Order: sequence, then C-alpha cells, then structure tokens
Amino acid sequence: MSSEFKPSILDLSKPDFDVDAYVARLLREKSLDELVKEEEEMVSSVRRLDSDVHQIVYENYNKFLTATNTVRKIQDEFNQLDTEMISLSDSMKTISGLIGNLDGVLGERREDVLQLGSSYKVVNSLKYIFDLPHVLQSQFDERNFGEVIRLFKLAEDSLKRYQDVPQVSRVFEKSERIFKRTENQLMEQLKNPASGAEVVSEAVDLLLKLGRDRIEVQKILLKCSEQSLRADLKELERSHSDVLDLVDKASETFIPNLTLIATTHDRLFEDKRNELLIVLKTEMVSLHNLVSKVFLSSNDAKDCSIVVRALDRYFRKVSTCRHVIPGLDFLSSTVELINDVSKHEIDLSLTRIKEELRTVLSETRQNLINDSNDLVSLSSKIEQIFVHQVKTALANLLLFTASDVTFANLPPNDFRLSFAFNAHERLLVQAFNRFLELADEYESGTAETRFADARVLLVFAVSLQHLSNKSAIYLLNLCREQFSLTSSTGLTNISEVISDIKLRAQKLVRCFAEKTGLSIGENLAKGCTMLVQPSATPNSVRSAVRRVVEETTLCDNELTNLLGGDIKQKETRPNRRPITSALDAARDSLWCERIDFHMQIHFNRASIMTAIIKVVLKIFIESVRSQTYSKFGVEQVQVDCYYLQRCLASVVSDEVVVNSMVDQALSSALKRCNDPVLVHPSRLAQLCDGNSNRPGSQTSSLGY
Amino acid sequence: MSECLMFGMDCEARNMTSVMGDEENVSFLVGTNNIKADNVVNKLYVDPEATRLMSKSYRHPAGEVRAISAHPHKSHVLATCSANYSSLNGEFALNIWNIDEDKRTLEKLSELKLDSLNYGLDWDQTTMKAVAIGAETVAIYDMSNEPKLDQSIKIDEEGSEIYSAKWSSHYEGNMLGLTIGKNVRCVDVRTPRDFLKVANAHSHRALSMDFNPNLQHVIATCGDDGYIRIWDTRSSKSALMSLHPHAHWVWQVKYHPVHDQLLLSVGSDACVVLSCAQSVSSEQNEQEEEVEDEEEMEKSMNIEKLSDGTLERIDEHEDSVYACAWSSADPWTFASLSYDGRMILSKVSRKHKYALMQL
Repeated sequence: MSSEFKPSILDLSKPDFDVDAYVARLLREKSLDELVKEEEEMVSSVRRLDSDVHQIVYENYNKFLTATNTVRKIQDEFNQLDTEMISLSDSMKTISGLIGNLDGVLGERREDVLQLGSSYKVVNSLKYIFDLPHVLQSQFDERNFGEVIRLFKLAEDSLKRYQDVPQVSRVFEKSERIFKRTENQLMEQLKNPASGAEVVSEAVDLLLKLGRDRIEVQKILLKCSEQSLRADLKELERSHSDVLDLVDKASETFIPNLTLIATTHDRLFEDKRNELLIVLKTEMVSLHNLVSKVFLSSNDAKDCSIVVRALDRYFRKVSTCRHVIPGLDFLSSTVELINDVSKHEIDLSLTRIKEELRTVLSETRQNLINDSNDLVSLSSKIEQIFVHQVKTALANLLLFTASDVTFANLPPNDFRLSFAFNAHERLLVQAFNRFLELADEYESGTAETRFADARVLLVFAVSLQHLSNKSAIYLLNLCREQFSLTSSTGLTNISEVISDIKLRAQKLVRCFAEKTGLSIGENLAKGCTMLVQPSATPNSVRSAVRRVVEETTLCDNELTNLLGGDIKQKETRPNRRPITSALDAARDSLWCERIDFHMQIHFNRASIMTAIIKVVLKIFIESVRSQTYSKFGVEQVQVDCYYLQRCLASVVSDEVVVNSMVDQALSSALKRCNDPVLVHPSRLAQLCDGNSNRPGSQTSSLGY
Repeated sequence: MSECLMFGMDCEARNMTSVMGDEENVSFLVGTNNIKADNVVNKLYVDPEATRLMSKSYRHPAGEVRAISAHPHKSHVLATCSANYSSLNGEFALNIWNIDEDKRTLEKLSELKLDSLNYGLDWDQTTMKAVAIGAETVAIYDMSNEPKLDQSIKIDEEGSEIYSAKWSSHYEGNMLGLTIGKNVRCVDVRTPRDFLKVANAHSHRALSMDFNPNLQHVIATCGDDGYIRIWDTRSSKSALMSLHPHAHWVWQVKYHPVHDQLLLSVGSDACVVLSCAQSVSSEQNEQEEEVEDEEEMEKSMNIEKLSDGTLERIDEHEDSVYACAWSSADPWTFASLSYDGRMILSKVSRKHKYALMQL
C-alpha cells in the first residue's frame, strides 16, 4: 500500500502532488551531484513547458478568428434565403388558385377519362396478344427459345381466360403450337448431347423451367448420350481401314463426345454421377472391345510400327480420359491390352519366322532338284534367313519400348518387364523352337517331307550346326542387350538352347546318313539279287558293287565341298589278311566288333561317311543273309567284299568298321552255302582291278 | 532296363514265337536257321525262381526253320515252314509238329510239300487258318487237321517281294495284313480283290506290320528306313505317326496285346526298342471323351503320362535282331532274338508299367 501511495504524492503530474514530500525525498535519497543534475533537468523542463503553453495560445487564437469569419458568411446567406421563400409562397398561392378553377371545369368528365385510360391498356394488351404468334415465331426462328417460353408463359393465363372468344382461342392455338415446337426443339437439342455443353445445358434449363421432371430429363439425356455414343461406335466399326485409322477416328469422334457428355452431365446433374458412369463405362467397354478386337486381328508382322503408334495414341487418349472424367479409369485394362497386343505381335512374328523358314526350306529343296550343287550357300542361306528374320522381329518389338512411346514409360512392372521377358522367351526361344520343330518335321518324315532329297537334311543339319556354334549365341545376347534383360531369372539358359540345336543337328545328320546309305545300299541289294546263283566262278566285281563305290565317292566329294577337310585319300593297309576259309570266317565273326549305329556323328566328312557306309554295308549283309548260295555265289560275294573293303576303307574315319563289316558279309555268305570254297587271295586283286576280261569258264579252269 | 535274361544258342536263328497255348508259363519257341548242321526248335522258358532263362531243344528233322508259329491253344503243337538244301534245288514244306518231351524231338503230325521257299507263317487265333508266304505267293491253309490249301491270294505287283503276313484280331479272322515291297495291304480274304492299300509305307521295303489290338483300322508298319509308321487304313495318304527308333532296317514291330500305345520293334542295328504311341492309341481317344468330367480330368492330370517316342532301348544284342514277341503268359515280358542265336528276355520297366496302368 505504501509503495503505491508514495508515487501518487511524489508524481509531478498527479493532482495530490506534495512538493515538500518530493523535495524531502530528493534530499534524502539523492547525492549532491544527483541533486544538481535534478535541478538542471527541472529548469530545462520548466522552460520547455513554458514554450509549449505559448504555442497553444497562438493556435487557439487563430482558430477563433476563422470561426468568426464563417459565422458572418452564414448570416448573409440566410438573408438571401428569406427573400426566396417569400416568392415561393406567392407562387404556391397562385397554383392553388388555378387548381381550384380546373376542378370546376373537369368536374363532370372525370369518369370518362378514367375509362379512356383503362381502354387504352386493354387495346394495348390485345394488340400484344394478337401479335403473340408472330413474336413467338420470330423468336423461335432466331432460336431464342428462352424468350419464346417466357412470352408464352406470360400470356398463357390470360389467353386461357378468354378461350371462348374464337380469335383468342386461335391465337392461343397458334402460340401453343409454336410453344410445343419449341419444346420439341429443346428435346432435340437434348437428344444430341454431343452438340455442345452450352446448347444442352440451355435446353435442360428451359425444359426444367417448363416443368419437366428433373429425373426424366436426366434419363433422356443419359439415354441419348448412350445412343449417340453407340452411333459413333457403329460408325467406327464400319468405316475404319486399319487400326491406326480406327484409333484416329475414335479420338476424333467417340472420345471427345464422351468427354463432352461427361462434362455437360456433370454440370447439370452432379448428383447423378453414378448413373452416368455406368453408361459411360459400358460404352467405353464396347469401344475397348472393338479396339482390342482390331488390334488383335492384325495379322501381318510388318504392320508392327503402325500398331505401336495406334496403341500409343489410344493409350494417351485413355489416360487423358481418366483425368478428364474421374471415375472412368480404363488404364489397367489398356495396359492389359498393350500386353496382349505385344504378345499378339510376338506370335505374329513367330508365325512369320516359321513361314519364312518353310519357304527357304522348300526353295532349298527346289534348288537341289534343279541340280544346284552349291550346298555351302544353301546351308548358309537357311541360317541367314533365320538370323535375319529373328533380328527383324526383335527390331519390330523394340518399337514397343521406343522412348517416344508413352506406355514404354509405364512402371516397369506394368509392361516393360514382362514384355522384355516375352521378347526373350516367347519370341526368341520360341523362334528357335519353331526352327527345331521344322527340323523334327524333316527328321520324323511326316507328310511330304518324307520324300525330300536327303541332301536337304544335310544342308539343314549343317545350317543348324553353324547356328549353334555362333549365331545362336549372338542372337540370344543381342536380345538380352536390346531389352536390357540383366537378371537372368526365369530366362531359358543359353546353353540349353544351344544344346537343343545341336541335338537336332545331330538327328538330322544321322537321318541324312541313313537315308543316303539306304538309297545307295538298296541299289546294291537290288543289283546283287540279279545274279545270286552264277553258273561259273566270278570274273569281275558285280557292277552294282562298282556303282556303290562310285556313289560313295560322289557323296564324299560333296561332303568335302560342304564341310571341307582332307581331300587326299588315306593309304589303306594293303596287306590286310583276307578271309581264306570258312573256318577263318567263323573265327573272325567271333572277334567281330559290335557295330554301333547310334554313335555320335561329327560334322566332318569322315564321320558322316562312316555312318553312311555302315548303313550300306549292313544292307549288303542283310541281303547276303537272305540268300542261299552256290559255290560260285560265295566266290562272287568274296570278290565283291574284297573290292568294297579296298575302296571304302579309305573313306571312313576308322577302317576297322569297314573291315569288320565286310568280313561279316563274307562269313554270312559262307553260312548260307552248303559247300563254300573261297577264291585265292592272289586272284582277288587281279579280279578287282577290272582288267580281267577272260571268259568265266577259262578262269574257273585255272584255279578251282 | 531292370531285368534282362539272356540265353545263347549255338546256331543262327531268325524265327521266334510265343507259346500261345500256355498262359501259365513264359515260354517261347525259337527255330534255328543253319544250312549245314542239324536244326532244332528250342523252347525257352524261365526257371521257377525267374532268375535264369532255360532251354530245351527238340530236333527239327525237316531242315532249316524258315518260319515258326505256335498252335493257338495247344502248347505242345507248332507249325514250321522248313527248307532243306541238302538236295540240289532244295525241299520246302509246311509241317505241323507235336513236341515229344521224352525223345527230345519233334514228332511230325503232318507235312505238306511246297514248291518254293516260304518264310512267313501266321496261325490265326480263332479260325485255325494259317497264312504262309513266299517271295511271290500268299497261301491260306486250313490247319485243323493237316495243312490243306484253302485259298491262294494273287498278288500282282511287279517285282515286289512279299515280306510278311499277319492276321488281324478283328473281322473274325478274315482280315489279312501283307507287306509287299514298300507297300502294305489289308486284304479281306472273302473278297481278295478288294483291299486297302498303304502305298509307300517305307522307303524300299515294308518288312513287317501289326494290327492295333484295340482299334481295328489302325496298323503299325516297319521298314528298311528305320521308321515305324502308324496308319489309319481308311485314309492312308499320310501316316498318323512316324517314329524313328532304329538306325537300320526294322524287321518286326509288335503291338502290346492290351496297351496299344506300346510298340516293340527290333532291327538290324542290333537294338530292341520299346516305343510309345500314346497320341494315336485307343486310350488317347478315351481320354478325349472324358474331358467333360472335371474330376476325371484332374485325376488324369495327376498321372504321369508317357510321351510319344522311344521309352526303352535295349542294346544287348550284337547282331541283327530279326524277331521279337510279347509273352502270352505275362503281358509285361517280351523276348527278342538276334541272328547269332542270342535270345534276350526283358520286362517293361516298372515306371512305364505304372504309367500305362495309370496307377
């Protein structure tokens, strides 16, 4: 309390300021210096206050002078006003006098004037009513439907009131007709929802004003939207020339209309959004189906670029739609479509590759029939066609992932990953498989491939072998690079593909060897049955046997041309001990090696020739075994065997095979003879050299 | 190959048949084929422990056995086509024998002299008729008592040798399959002029054929090109299936008597091959019919199906294999015979057996 009280009496500005207390406090609390300072301050404060007071006095005095002047002016004006008020009252007096006079004049006519006024009004409105049809018509002609409706509504009540008057009822009828037409016109506008948001919303507004049910109007709008979209669709379905054209037309008609309808509807019937979406969705689904159908019915792999462009455009339109019309989201199904189309294109490419391969194979066959002996170029052509076709297909597929294609930038999980995977698995690996299927077809000899030239198999086998050695690896790596397939999870192993190809190459070359051996051997077998039971000892090698040697030499040359390798004939061991007696034969057959017909054939001349000769000699053995020989018959076989051994041993990789099989043939002949006697080895060489022209009887008399 | 029994004979042999009349014991008859030495018919059977292949030989006094066929019902009766080259031009006959266990010889029941060499004989299961073929002759004999010529079928195919003849188990013993040159014929013996023909069945020689036991119009043929082809005789333009199990002449092909997806074949490449032709077998058709039944589908999905192609290859033989046969006592046993006199008895491996029986 005391602390609060104190300031009050010590505060200079407060009314209960106590000077003594203040001074006493100062004296008590302050030092001398402070007191001196206080005094100086106080003096300067007093001076300042003083000058302030002076200033205020001067200002107030000035204001006082101005106010005086103003009061004087007001006084003058009031005087003036006074005189004017006097003249006004004079005038008023005159007016009231005049009115008094007029009242007297008009006294009895008052009623008439009132009547005139109302008649004028009636005439005016009658004129208006009779003009109404024209006005309405002209407004109608100018398509001011709103005005038509406003005017008609204005007049309607009064027209109805006077309907019993014929003219009026006529006018009413006319007007009503125009009105109805207007209404119809508005309905028309509504029914063409693609004509523009403005027009339609105006029509809707007016129809609502006409008292049409809101729900009904909305229903009609929806129905008409549906119809117009359907019409667009029909037109699209009817008139597209290719898929790009279809997408272009769709993005010119259907999709803009769709968005237009959606915006119009949204503006008018925000609350009925769901119904709209249902309609739009069904229509969009129809469009999607149509587009999908056309996309998936494209059947030429060459059109790939067009397809990709169309797909891109369609995708962009659909993604725009998604933003413009919320709730209408076809993105996922479009992505699905993209995936489907990409697969479809892959399948097309595959078919194309297979067709091309088929063509080149039948061309190869044709060339071989036409005596083209350039097997090297034929085989490399098959390989080249394959590599070229696969590269083209891969290049086509690359279009899907080009940087300017919008959907290529989708999240990788949506498209890119599976696409790249498909490009590798579904296209490349499958392309190899198709190639191999063809190989299988030729190998298993289904349908007409059975009768193809055996050299087709050889050419095919060699091209597969080359493929497996080089191009296949190149293609597989190319694909992995192009589609940036880094992680190899799930991808078919390169080595797996290669080994599959090698397997087929092996099968085909085996088939070639068998077929060739078969045709050479069959001639031998046929030729040998001609002369089974000679009546005399042989004087030379049978011509069929000579022909076998000629044919194998021919085949050998062909293989040398195709596969290269040593042309020089190996030196045969001439001092091989030939079989000289039946006992020898029996003993030899004990040591006879088992001939393995399922051995791996290598892609060199000797290996293939070995396989062919095995088949030929086995046929010889079989045909020998099916006969029963006389003494001379066995001699003939012996001569033939010697000749075959001499000529064929040089061609094969391991002459043991030839020796052993030739021995087997001879021992088989010995077994099929009751009293076999063999020709002396010294005569064999002589007979086989072919210079023995002596008659049979003479030779037989020489030794036996 | 799990189980494989082997037996070696001294003599060359080309002919073998299963003993049709014995449904208890696995046994086969093999006729030897030697121009000089005495020929025998060997009866090969499995000893009671099923560990060894045993043999009993019976002397065949008529010379070489060029064809052999067992009596359809009697296990001790058999027929052979014989050839004896001890005389100048050879003597040929069709014989019916009774096996004389005591004397270890064949007792001649009857004999019919033939003009030329016959090397194929098939005794029908139901009608007691047998067909014998030579290079250019096809003759049907009534075998009920003694061989009596019933019918001779004229084959006018220039320069083509007849390789084999086989009765169909369908058509009540009236349908005969013949392989002639590279073609195959199915002849109804009641109207021998009309026949179904598979032209160009094989490259140069169609060596043998067999009728599908379950599908009456399906046949399998084999030939010198190493292929087995399966044909529908009603449309023989192209084969239903081509298998390539051998690298050389395929001498015989035999359908399994029950499971017609199994084909046994032997060839000059010294191989015995068991092939599967699931997709053209009778069971394939059944499966297609059952597709509507979903449960059935699921069930069949679970069962491991055999894929077409070679199932097993036996390369225990060292020379050409000319004959093979399924045992008439055990449906999973089969035998093969190579020229060097080696006979091999094998069983279908358990894995394939279960797959076939759909267990």
